[in-house]
Amino acid sequence: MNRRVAVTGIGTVSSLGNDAEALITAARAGRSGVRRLDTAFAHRLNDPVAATADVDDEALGMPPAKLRMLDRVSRFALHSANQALASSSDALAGLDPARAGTFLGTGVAGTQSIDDSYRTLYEQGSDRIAPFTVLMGMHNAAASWIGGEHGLEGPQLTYSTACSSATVAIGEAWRRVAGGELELALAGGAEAPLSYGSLQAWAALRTLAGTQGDDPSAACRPFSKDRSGMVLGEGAAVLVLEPLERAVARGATVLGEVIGYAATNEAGHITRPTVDGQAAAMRAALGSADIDAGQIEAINAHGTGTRANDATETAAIRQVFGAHAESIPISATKSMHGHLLGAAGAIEAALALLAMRERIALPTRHLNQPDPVCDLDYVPNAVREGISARTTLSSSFAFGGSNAVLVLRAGR
Amino acid sequence: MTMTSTLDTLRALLVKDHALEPERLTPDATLADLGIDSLATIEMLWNIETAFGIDVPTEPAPLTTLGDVADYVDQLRAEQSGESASSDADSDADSGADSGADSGAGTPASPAASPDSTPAS
Repeated sequence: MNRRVAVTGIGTVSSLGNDAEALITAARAGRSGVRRLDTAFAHRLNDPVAATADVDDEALGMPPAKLRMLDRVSRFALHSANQALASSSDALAGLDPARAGTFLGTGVAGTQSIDDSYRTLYEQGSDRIAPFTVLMGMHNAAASWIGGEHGLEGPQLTYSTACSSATVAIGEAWRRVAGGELELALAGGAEAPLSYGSLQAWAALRTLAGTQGDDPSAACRPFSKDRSGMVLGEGAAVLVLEPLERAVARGATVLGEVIGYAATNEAGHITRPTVDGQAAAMRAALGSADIDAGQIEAINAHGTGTRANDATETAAIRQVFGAHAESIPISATKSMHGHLLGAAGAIEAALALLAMRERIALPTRHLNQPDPVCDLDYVPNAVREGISARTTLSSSFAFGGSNAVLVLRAGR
Repeated sequence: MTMTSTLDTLRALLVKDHALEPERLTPDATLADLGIDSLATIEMLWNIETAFGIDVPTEPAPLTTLGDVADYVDQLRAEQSGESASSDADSDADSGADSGADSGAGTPASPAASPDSTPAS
């Protein structure tokens, strides 16, 4: 790893808005995108809330016959990639396409297309499912559309490591750009998990928060004593990664840098995280960045709002950072955009970079009841201005034990 | 139904699905010229099954022009008109008549797979 890697473009769609500026504006204001789900199947779910995105697919500029081949998750991904490149001052100009890659994380990929096919087969009793079901449901579809539409001929890779997928995708892309294999990577994650089958599956695992009172938007309460689970969200985020030297030479705006990344395995229980496992991932990321724990000035936590994660993550942060942990502002932005599963690490990395640019620490919303086992500074409920953090850790700890952590540096 | 009305139904399908100008949809217009590639052909045949209540066989048919498609539909309708009373039109439709999908390990010939098949898990 010898080259510094810049982030020169960010694109995103989510419940908080459909570009990077809308995202940071909403998050700064502490606006929650979580709402009561009102889809046709909502009455069959117990107290359904979710963070839904509202995107105009005409903006993709595709003919209808082509657009019909894209599941919702691919549309989210392509919107984000298009925006990221559009905001990058033409990062593709003069580039050998073979040295540009696509790295995307997704947990459940085209689950809505698969869900639709099952409804046809099992509920309607028909044996005729839509002809593009394979193309829409396959896990690599979203990455394929990004790479194809933008002519990227380097590796086109999809990572599916549940809730750490996008963090892994960005980290693996970073390694290839830093190592000299690639001159550009579009890296991030996309998720559209709000199908009936997917929601019921998560509900069956007893991981989802309910409305909790009469305000659905406050359902996700990371690190608060009254937290009751996670809230699923949909959306995507894609970053443009390129060598810092190239970015500077072409006069691009450097939004920040990726300076470290590690992926580790809990090698234990399939859902129960451990303090040691999460701490090991954070330590490995610091090692990768070749910095000391004391240099971390902000954390975008995994912070799901589940009882197990938030207490474990707090203890893991204490283990890694010691007394310094108390002085690190920790943001759990899932309280606003929900848990984007395989895209979570991308939207959170984007927010971490944008927060450093804005010199703010983003709020952890709905943190109204301090919990003795979550006793750090989570920036409760309101944005904190005048934070001059230059180095932020962004953590993703996945079901299945695939932990991944990025170390991000401010662009200024 | 006459050849003309078959063509009219096809025209309506293509206008709706591909935003093609009706005047381009002549019997001698080639699918290639209309921008109907192999995947779009698979989708078209699936919609034809729905619109005409017929099964389009999985075996590839030489379909070059819109007229070829109309003739093929009329042929299938004639062949299947005697069966329709005794068989469920929907029961075993192989929607992906193979017109040469570009790539992929599995030809998308039988989306109507057995109930046990799980496309993704």
